[in-house]
Amino acid sequence: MTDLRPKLVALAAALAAAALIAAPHVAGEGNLRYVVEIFCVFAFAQSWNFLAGYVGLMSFGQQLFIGLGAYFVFTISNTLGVNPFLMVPLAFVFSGAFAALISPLVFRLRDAYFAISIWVIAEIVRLFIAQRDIFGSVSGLPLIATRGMDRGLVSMWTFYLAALLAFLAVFGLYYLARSRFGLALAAVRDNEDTAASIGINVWWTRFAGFVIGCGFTGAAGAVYYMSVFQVQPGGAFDPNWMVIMLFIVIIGGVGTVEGPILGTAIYFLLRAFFSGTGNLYLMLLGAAAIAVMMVSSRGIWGVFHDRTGIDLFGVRRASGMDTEHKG
Amino acid sequence: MIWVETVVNGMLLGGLYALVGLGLGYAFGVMKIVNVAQGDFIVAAAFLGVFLVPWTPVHPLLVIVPVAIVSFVFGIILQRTMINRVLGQDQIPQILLTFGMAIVLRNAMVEIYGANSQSIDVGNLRFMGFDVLGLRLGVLPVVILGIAVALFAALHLWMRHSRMGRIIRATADDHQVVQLSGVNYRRVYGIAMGIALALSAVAGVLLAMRGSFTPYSGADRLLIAFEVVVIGGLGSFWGMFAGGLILGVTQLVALKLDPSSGLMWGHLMFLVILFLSPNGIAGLVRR
Repeated sequence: MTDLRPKLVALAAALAAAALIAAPHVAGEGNLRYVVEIFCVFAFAQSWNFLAGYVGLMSFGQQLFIGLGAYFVFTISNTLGVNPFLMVPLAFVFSGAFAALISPLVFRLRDAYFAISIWVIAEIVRLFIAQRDIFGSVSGLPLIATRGMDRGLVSMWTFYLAALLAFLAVFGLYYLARSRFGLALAAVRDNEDTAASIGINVWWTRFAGFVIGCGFTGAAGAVYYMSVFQVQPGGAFDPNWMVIMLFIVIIGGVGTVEGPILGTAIYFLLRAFFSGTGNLYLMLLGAAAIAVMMVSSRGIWGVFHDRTGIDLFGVRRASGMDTEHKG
Repeated sequence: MIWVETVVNGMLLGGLYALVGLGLGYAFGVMKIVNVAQGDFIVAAAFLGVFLVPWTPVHPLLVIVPVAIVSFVFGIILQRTMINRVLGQDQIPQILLTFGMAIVLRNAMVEIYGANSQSIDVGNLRFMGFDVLGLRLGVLPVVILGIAVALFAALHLWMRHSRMGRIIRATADDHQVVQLSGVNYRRVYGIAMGIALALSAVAGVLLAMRGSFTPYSGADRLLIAFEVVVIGGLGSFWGMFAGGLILGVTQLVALKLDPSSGLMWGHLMFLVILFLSPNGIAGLVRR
């Protein structure tokens, strides 16, 4: 029996692309801005999901790359007067390059120690930027270049960039996971020794995954802060970004393409309901993460998949987390 | 002379930092568990200290005893009802579980106490000082260093010579094999987490006596604990102590040169040491 899913996914990708291209011409500017935020947060979460669930590297410092991407675009665009929209791919390159630079150091640590070491680096960068006048110190930077541009055009291009990120976060991840490289990543994640024994270069595979994932977070961070025209070190390097990413991925199901889509929807619904309650709402996110870990570490989509056997994309492969739950 | 004083004060602070790391390092050494909520437990213990000080007889410093006892019991309950249930080959569920706890705890403290900065009042002790070899030192920092050293030594000796210490060490070596000798490793893990939290709680109370804290201090506390453990070489007692001293001295010297830098130079020092010696100070000595 041939699996029809790859063709259906390609069809879905084409339909999604068409819908996203049409959207700014249909929706109002206010809605568009809200959608941009949702897409960016989804892209953050999916980049963390890619790192934790596909590369096997859990980071507690992804806010580092959100801030780096944003500050890169703001600083270059403000000082050189370059169109910030053209800088977003470079934000990917810059954040990826920064990840490449720190990886020889942080790869020396494993698991939680790896996770926290990136948080330490995020703190260093935040404290560094908060003291430097060229980065606007604690009060941050405004985005100057877009002031002279047509407002409708700015919001349309911001939307297209965010839409591209969300599109890549679903379909890009799907094709990446099915590729040769994706298989190598899964092998390294599941068992380093076995992966090495079939000729996979463990270090370089993990390194490439780390650079791609962090670069993507950086590009998404740039788009997010471009959409609000202002970046501050306290906000861009806020560890609460990490809380949101973790919540979305854990609730939805780590290591799946579908899980974070579900998680993002739940997150924004919760936020709409509890937006006035401040800390209570953050406590709720934390409690939900605890509950998921106590019940099933595979998240809502993982449990749903186990019960029904439904797998929309057909890329899910066993991760380390599954082994105890099999049977 | 002012520099000598800064370095000495850094070492006094560093001894306390070592104690901050000890709980995290101990839990990791015995159970391979990294309790990401450690920093926020430290802050919660400080709040408990603030609450209990008015009822503490003799001297406010003694508040560390009830706080440590409460934290010990809490650690056992936490380990046995929650963390033990997610342990397995995979580290991720345990790390994310404690991360969730950290978020809940931190925001609950903000909700209850507000974001204001607090500290534990130890009366005159905070302002008392004495002169040694031309250096002016505070009494409180010296007493705190003494407590830290005493706890390091006590834990070391207890692990070495007591029956329970032997059982814990055996469990740390292989928690499957010890079951053959009738040891319930889940019970041992409970005790180990109790000790880890009691140590952290003492550190938290002492930090709150020396300086101030807010419900948000947990992140900084966790990063310090983490750096102490990694610099020390993951599980080496005296490596951790040296790691604490290095961080304390770096921080105070850096704050003198660059007053608005916060913990930045301490964090950088951590990266430098990680770069020079992947296995921390213990790795350097063993080589």
